Formats: sequence, structure tokens, C-alpha cells
Amino acid sequence: MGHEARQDDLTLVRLAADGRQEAFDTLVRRHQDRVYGTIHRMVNDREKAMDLTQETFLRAWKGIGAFHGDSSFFTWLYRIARNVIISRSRYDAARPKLNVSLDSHEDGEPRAAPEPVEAGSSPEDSIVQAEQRRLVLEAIAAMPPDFKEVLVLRDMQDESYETIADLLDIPVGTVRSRLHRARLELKQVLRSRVGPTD
Amino acid sequence: MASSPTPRDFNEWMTDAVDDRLSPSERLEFEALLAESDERRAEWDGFRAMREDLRSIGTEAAPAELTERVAVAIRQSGDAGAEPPPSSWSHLRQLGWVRAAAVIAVFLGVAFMLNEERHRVRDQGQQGEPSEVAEVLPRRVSAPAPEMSQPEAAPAQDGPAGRPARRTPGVLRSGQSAGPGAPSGEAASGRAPAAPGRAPSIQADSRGNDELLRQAVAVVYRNRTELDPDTWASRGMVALLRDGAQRNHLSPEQAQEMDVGAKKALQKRKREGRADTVDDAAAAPKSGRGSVGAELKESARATRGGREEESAQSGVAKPGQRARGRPASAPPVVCYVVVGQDASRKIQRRLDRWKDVRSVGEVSRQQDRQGAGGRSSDGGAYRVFRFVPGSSPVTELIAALRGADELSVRVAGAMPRSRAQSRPLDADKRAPAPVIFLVLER
Repeated sequence: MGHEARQDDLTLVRLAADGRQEAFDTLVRRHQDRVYGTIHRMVNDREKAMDLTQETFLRAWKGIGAFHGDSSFFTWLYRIARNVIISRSRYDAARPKLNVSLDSHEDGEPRAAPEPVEAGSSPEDSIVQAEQRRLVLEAIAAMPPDFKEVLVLRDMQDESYETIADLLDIPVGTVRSRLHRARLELKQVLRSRVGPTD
Repeated sequence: MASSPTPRDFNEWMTDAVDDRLSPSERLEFEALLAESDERRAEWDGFRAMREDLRSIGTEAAPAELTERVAVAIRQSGDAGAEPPPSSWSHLRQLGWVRAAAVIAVFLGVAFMLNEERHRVRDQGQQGEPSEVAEVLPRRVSAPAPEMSQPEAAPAQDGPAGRPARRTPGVLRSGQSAGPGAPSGEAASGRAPAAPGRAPSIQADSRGNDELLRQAVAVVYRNRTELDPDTWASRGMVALLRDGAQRNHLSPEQAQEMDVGAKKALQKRKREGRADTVDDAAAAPKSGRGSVGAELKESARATRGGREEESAQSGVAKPGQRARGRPASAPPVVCYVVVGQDASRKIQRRLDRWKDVRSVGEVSRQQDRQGAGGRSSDGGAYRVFRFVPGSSPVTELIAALRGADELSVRVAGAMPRSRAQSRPLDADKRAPAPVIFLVLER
């Protein structure tokens, strides 16, 4: 994010900290796609992603006084989102499943919602594409969080190495090695499920 | 890149290539490799296809109703900043003015007492000899190094009766404070006497590794007789400055500039004629028997003598050449890595590429890392490895150590050359030797 946008974010943050909710709404509109997009790919469940995104913004609103502009607003927001995801994972892991989401398979694993397919493709192609997407998304969802995170940020959100390093507070070299391992793992998982991707 | 890379190398190259992070020349080499083997070409095509799949999936925009959901949730939640992180002063506000005043009074009283004590210690230090090694003491000493509580580490306290024992490097002294022959209150408190203009400030490592590093330095100190005098930089050894880590992320050109800066500083010191070598300190009138300065001096002479003998035998250099003060070429870097037990097997494999790799001791973390913002995956036990990384720049070294095994290299303490204001142990004032400490965890 550029300096101007960051400055603008800061102005809005200050207004929001003074209780101006419309300023915070602007911040929400500005960053919700990025936050939701990442969370969605991390949890692979739309409804859960909505909940977690809402929780992220809610925590940001409550703690907005703690943001002093040391990092970009999105970086701060992203770190909140990470904590929210981790808290939710722990919560989910600690509690037995009382109900099964309509988005889930019989085994309780979340299932990716149907993804849009390219216009003009044949029905058969569409089915293959959708199936391939589903497999990829499930494979990503099953990866360790550290790998999943870099993979989503780099290969799906198209964030730069430097941005990822900033968001995750790790060196660029670690981003590189983590990404490398994540891709290898994904390749192996996909190969084991559907055979070679080429 | 080697002509026939291992599969792992090739995978790493594919990662860089797919992200367009190869230089033009590397790209050419990579293309050549692909042309050599159909199998590699197929591998690369598959890798690229997978990346394209991921890209095409991308991420979704937030649903339209999300903004409204968030807005409603916020309206129901109350004011912004409803849960600010507690500031240090908010506790005082809660206490009320009277209690706050009491707290402040106690604080001022303690500060006054500490200040008095500091002055007393300084006076004491000025009455005694201005020990060079005393200047390297860290200002803050956390948990004592377990190694240093052993009697082996206590010779420096055996000063002549009736006179304050000669001071030892901070890490040693911090351990001694917990040892059987506990020194004076000054030493026990771990504070260094002020040395105007020259005392290095030891900063706490931001990731909570300073405790480990101090112990690691203590381990190194205990093994000092094995050290090449070139690399025993007495003051720099504990100059674990936080900004050193940042400075190590430098290009080779920048590192070169830092070297030049360090040499200039050395020349300036020579011009000023500061008699501040360890030899000088050891030869000072008040140095006692068994003092660390004397020990270091002996150690240096022994090692130097051995080396000169070797040189003379091999005909590489004449004995005594260095004793005339001729600046030698840059001394070898000795690297110490403090590796979490879980990661030690992995890292050892990677360390094997360098010379003289050996484990020199173990250290442990006293407190859980969670509180320091890190993961506590190593059970608090760490191993200290020593090795000579050769001519690799620090940046390369770090990159190689990180490798692809998911090891987090925390460059917690390092002494870049520009910070190396210490001299090697031997008398001739040569270029300072950087000693690097890294902490690695899984």
C-alpha cells in the first residue's frame, strides 16, 4: 500500500478512534476484500470466513486506540485476523462437533463451495475444472497453517515476498523457504490424489 | 548452479523461477538445465501448471452483506477503543492518587538507592585498575549461566587478599554471582562500572534471546583456550547489539564499507595511542595472579606461539612478523549458533559444509518463550555449535542455515565489523575479528 493510502488510513483510524463509526466503515470497505479473501482461503468455508472477518473487524474497532501507525493498517488488521483464526481453530478443536455445516461432507470436513468456472467452457470441462478447484482448495485447507498462509498470500492473493514478510513478521528468506516447502507439499498431495497435474 | 543439481536444488530453483526471482544469468542456466532433461522439463511444466491453477482460483471478494454485518456488530458492541491494551499508567489511575503517590515515592527511593550504589561502584572501580575486560560487562544480566557457576569459571575472583578481585567479562561474572565464591554486590548485581566514552551498551534482544546468548557467550568463554586469538575479541564478544542483526542483512558491498569503517576506527585508536589491549590490561600494575587478563594473555601467547611455530615449519610466514604490529588480512569469522534441541539434527547437517564444526556446550532457556513472543518448540534446551564459515558473507551464511527446512534463524546477537571496537587477544593491533551469534529454532 502506498504512502498516501497509508496516510489516509491513519486519518480514518484517528477519526474512528474518536468514535466516528463512518470512518471505520470506510476502512472496512477498503480492506474487507483482502481480509475476507485470505481468511476464506485459509478456512475454506464461506460462512466461517464471514464470521471470522466480522470478528476481525470487531476486534479492530475495539482495539483501534492501540494502533499507532507503526505498521500499515492492513498489516495490523491481518495480524488480528491471524489471531482470530487461531482462536477459532483452538475453540473448534476443543469442542466436539454438535452439528454439521451444510457446507460439509459426511465426514465433517469442510467442503469448498462451487466455484465459478470459465464462461464458454463445455459442461464436461466445467465439471473437471470445478472438481480440480475443489481438490486444490481441500489440499490447501489440510496443510499446516504456516504453509497455507504463505501459499494463499503469495499464489492466490499475489502478495510480494516483502509484503508477506511484513505481514507475518518473518524474514524474506523464511518466506521463500516456507513457500518452497508449501508448494512441494501441495504438489505431492495433489499428485497422490489426482495424479500428476501436468 | 551445479551442472547436475540434486532434486532438492532443482525444486528450489523452480520456486525461484516461478516467482521470477532468478537473475538473467541464473535464468539461462535454468533453461539449459531444462533443455538437458525431459524429466526436468515435465517437472517444471507441472510445477508451473499448479501455480497457474492456484492463481486462477485466486481469492473471492467479500460478500456484499459483510459490510452491513460488520456495521451492525460494531453498533451493538459499543464505542471504539472499548478494549484498549492497558497502559502502564492506567494501573496508577485505578489505584487512585494516594496510592499512585506512594508508588512513585517508592520508585524514586529505589532509583536513588541504585544511583548511589552505582556511584559507589564507579568510585571503587576508579580506585582499582581500569580493567579492560570490565568494560564489556552487560548492563543487564538475566539468569546466570549454569556453566559459569562451576568452580572452573571462577579463577578471576582469586585476586590478592584485601583488594577487589579483578573483574572478568560480564558473562563470566554473571555466572559467578551465583557461584560459590560470590563476589561483591556490584558483581552480583551484574552492573558494569561506567567507563566514560568506551563502555558498550548491551541491549536486550527483542526476541527474548539475550538470556540464551549470554549463556552462549559464557560457554564460549569457558572454551577460550581452544579459540584462535584472532577470534577472541574480548570486548566485542559480548557486544550483542540488537542493531547488529539488522546490519547483517547487508549486501557484500555494504559489508565492505563497514570493514573500511572498522579499519578507520582502528587507525584512529592507534593514533590516539590508547593502550587498551588485553596485554596492556594484564600488565597493569594492579593485575593479580590468576586474573582473566593474564589468562587471556597466556592463552593468546600459547596459541600465537603455536601458530608461529607452525608457520615457521611450513615456511609460510616468518615468526614474529605479526608481533611487529603489521595489520594482517581479515581474520576468520567464527560463528556460534545456538540451536534448539529439536532443530539440532537438521541444522547439524547443514553446518557440516563449514569447517571445524563442533558442539561446545549446552544452554537452556529459563523462561517459556511464549512470553517473549516466540514459540516454545524446543523445550528450553539449546546446543551451542561453533564453526568457521569461511569466506561466506554473513547474509549467505544466514540464508544457507535457513535453507528449506523451516528453521527460523533469529539473528539475535551479532557483532558486525563496524562494531568490533575490540582488539584481538594478541598484542599486535590487527583488524578486529567478528564473532557472530545466531539463535536457531524450528
